[in-house]
Amino acid sequence: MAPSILYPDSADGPPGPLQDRRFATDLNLDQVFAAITKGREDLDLRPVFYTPLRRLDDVAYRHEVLADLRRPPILAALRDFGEAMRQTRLVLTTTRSLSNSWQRERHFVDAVAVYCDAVRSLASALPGLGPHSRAMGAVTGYLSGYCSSPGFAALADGAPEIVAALGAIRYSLHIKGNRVTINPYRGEPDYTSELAAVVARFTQDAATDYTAKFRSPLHMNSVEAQVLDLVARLNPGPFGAMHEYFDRHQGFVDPVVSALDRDSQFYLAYLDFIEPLRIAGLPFCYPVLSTSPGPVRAQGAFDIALAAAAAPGGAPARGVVTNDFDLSPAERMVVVTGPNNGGKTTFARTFGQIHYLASLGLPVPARAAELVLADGVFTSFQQAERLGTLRGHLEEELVHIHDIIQRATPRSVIVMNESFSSTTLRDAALLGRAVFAQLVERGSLCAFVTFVDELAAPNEATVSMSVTVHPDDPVLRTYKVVRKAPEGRAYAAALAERYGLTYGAVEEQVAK
Amino acid sequence: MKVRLMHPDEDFEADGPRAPECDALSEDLGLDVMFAAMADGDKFVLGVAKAAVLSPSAPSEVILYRQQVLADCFAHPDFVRELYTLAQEALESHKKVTFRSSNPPPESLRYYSVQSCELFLGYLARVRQLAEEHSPGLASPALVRLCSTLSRNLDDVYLKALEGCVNELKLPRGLLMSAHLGRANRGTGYVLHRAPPAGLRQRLSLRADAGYSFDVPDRDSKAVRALADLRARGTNIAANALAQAVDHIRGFFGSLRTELAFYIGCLNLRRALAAKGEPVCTPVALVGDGPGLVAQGLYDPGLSLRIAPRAIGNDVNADGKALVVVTGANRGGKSTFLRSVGLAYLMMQCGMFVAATSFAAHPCRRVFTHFKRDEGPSMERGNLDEELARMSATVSDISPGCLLLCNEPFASTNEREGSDIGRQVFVPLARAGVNVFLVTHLFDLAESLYGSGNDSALFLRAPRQSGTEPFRLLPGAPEPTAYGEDVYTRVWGAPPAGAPDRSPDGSD
Repeated sequence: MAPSILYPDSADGPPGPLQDRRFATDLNLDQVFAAITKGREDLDLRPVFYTPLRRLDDVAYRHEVLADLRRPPILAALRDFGEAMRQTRLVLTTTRSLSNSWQRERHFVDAVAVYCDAVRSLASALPGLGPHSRAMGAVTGYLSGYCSSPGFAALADGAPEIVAALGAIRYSLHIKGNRVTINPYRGEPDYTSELAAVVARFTQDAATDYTAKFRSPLHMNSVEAQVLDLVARLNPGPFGAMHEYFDRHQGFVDPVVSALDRDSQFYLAYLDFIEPLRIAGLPFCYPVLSTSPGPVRAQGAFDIALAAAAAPGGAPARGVVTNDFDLSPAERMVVVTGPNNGGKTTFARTFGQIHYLASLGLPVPARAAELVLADGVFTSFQQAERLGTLRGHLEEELVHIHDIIQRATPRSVIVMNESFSSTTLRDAALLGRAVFAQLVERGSLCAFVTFVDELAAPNEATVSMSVTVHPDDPVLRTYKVVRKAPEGRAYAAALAERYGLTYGAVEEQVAK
Repeated sequence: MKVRLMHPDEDFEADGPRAPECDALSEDLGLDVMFAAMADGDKFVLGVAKAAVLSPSAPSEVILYRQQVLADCFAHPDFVRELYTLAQEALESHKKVTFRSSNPPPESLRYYSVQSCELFLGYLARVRQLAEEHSPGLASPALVRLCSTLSRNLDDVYLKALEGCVNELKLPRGLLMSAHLGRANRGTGYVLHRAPPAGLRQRLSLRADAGYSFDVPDRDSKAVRALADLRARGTNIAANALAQAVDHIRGFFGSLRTELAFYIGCLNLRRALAAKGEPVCTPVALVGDGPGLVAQGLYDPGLSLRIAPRAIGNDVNADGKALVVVTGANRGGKSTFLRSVGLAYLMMQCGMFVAATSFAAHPCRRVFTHFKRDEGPSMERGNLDEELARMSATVSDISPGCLLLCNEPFASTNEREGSDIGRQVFVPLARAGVNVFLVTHLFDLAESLYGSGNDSALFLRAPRQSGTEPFRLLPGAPEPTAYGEDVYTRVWGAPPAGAPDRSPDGSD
């Protein structure tokens, strides 16, 4: 079995990526994954981010790899490897676009040289660096075997010989009228320096460089192609060797090496993405996970999508508020209430994100976390009315929620945001209570954002959390969501006053 | 090769930035008349003359350096004019050799540098020849050095070698270059070689290892362009070196034309003044700081060029005087005097002769004028407002060692206030070391300045005019009258009623 650094050896192999990605849109994780994989599109990493892990050991397997990557020499070795592999892919892609066979074959040799260097440097570096993870251990073993195989030796040793032989060729061109004659170079002296010596008297203070900047595309024009053909005829040895090498080593990239390249970029892409956030002072941690209904708690958790937007390039993360939550094994439902624009939705997203990211085996946006390894993250956020369905808004929503309840297990994480808002308050309370009862029965872990304070009436499974406002000025939001009963006030008047929409102000405006 | 006719170590920049006061200076001193005489129809000379005259003062040693060149020019005007014409011709001919440096066809750099260099070669030879003919008679360090630079740098052997380079880049025997294989086996590292003569090439082509050839068909325009591109790769660096040499030579001719243009302007102006029998002198630029000037026969060359009779010169001994106050009769030549002082400073400071029989002064840093202005288009401010704003700008700009020429300042208010402002402004300026020339009708101001017994002030008076005798300023205390009734009388044909009866000899 070829070693993978994403999944431990197992009979059932890696699961296929999720098809239903509505949760990612609702939690803004789709933006995050797009940002993470940006610049690495050619590796098609997106499916890995939509393939959550279900077994604790699978997560541990990735945590081990990440622990190795926290050691700078290992991280650097993998980065260099990735860069060289990217270079190899790039050169191979251009190779295919070249029409002149002497060019195509030479370019191919260059690609092989880059590839062999990449593999050799990683293979020689890893044993000395002593990775502790199972994954990197297996990779180390595989690479050392691969590098000492005769096939690899023939591949690796051939390329530099060919490049050296071609590099030693020097030829002369004589152009007289339309006739071009190619000869071996016979040691004629450089005339440019002779001329430069004569005009030196007048060029000491030269300020302008007039040399034409020739574009040097890989593709040659017809004259250059004919010259190259004649140079090949003058030098059959090196060109023949190149041709033979090209024929023999088609498809030289080892599939395991190729997979290693792609898989390591999954980790590096995520680490690169969170690095500026770390620099901006936002914490990340490796969560403690369980598959049975245990306590669920996090300190200093934050919305990773919001933070990435607020702290671009490691700028101080102003305005990124972190929140805590702490649920006992019996408490499975968080009901979030409070004023508009107060951070309720952000809190709910944070709750969903942290669970999903944990199921990818990655560090999560929190200072410390103890979570459930979810078997599914489901969301129900308000959606724009979809034309083309005959069902109303509320009906659409209920259909979706019903579907979620059908699939929910005690290991499922469900985030609902302002559900039942397209009906009356009494209805919403009624529907909410009904849905709650079923979810409690399922034992799923839920975060539920609502204006309906009645729904926050705590029972043994329900926890009420609410947005806090600034003690002196209710217009100022703290965006802190804490465990407390709903206050029943939305502080709307204070906000309205700021906009000049009080009775007196409006009267004054009208009287003018 | 450097020209260095204007400064021992620096090139002269004719299009450098100008001080903000230059426009007012040109207008107030009537410089355009003098500039036109200097240019004598040559716009290029006009530009250089303006730039030189309006530049900040040159240091005393540079003034002397230019005066020496000017003396040579006076002695050998034909040589200087011929040299100037040569430089002009060289540059004008070169303008016709065009080169588009952005996205040019591949070989245009080679064509350009070969053509340019070939053109300049002829002019270089002529310039050297001219210099060698005239150098024995020259005395100024600048011209002597220029001539020796020319004959040293442009000897026959060297010009021959340069010609050889130009001919080689015409590729008479075709282009020979070598290369190696670079990225993706593309040819790279093109090095130019001297192509062997035809006979040798034939012998080489008979050798066993003689190479392979192909022909680019004429009708394949794409391939013909590709061939030109390949040729350009071989000649690129050599053509660049030649083009840089062309730059230098063009720069040399450019400097030669610019710096000679100044002296051509001086020659032209002197010729125009001499035609009227006006004298000029080489001024003495005193070393060090200090106010004051000593001059004899100082006149305004601009005025002289405008009128038929010769101008009237004034003798002034203002040695050590920071404040010169001029009062007296209307139409008594006060403004003209002020202009002649300003012009003399400007001319001396750029190395020109001065319109006087003798002139000595310390160069001043900058020359400021404060003359009456037309009422501008702005409706917002009154006359005094406008004037005060201007003076305030001048005061914030001026520094010790500058010259300030004031013509009837603060006249748009009553005498008491105008005088008071005048005292507030001029006394501290003069004390600080600004050289102030003040023409005023403000008796209160003039008299209080006179009465304060200031040793560093000189009082000149325009005498009451009597008939046709010339206006000459004489030292004298301010008077409460400027004989305005004389003017009235001339205009009306009768004196105004109530005018005091005074005899026209001023002995009231």
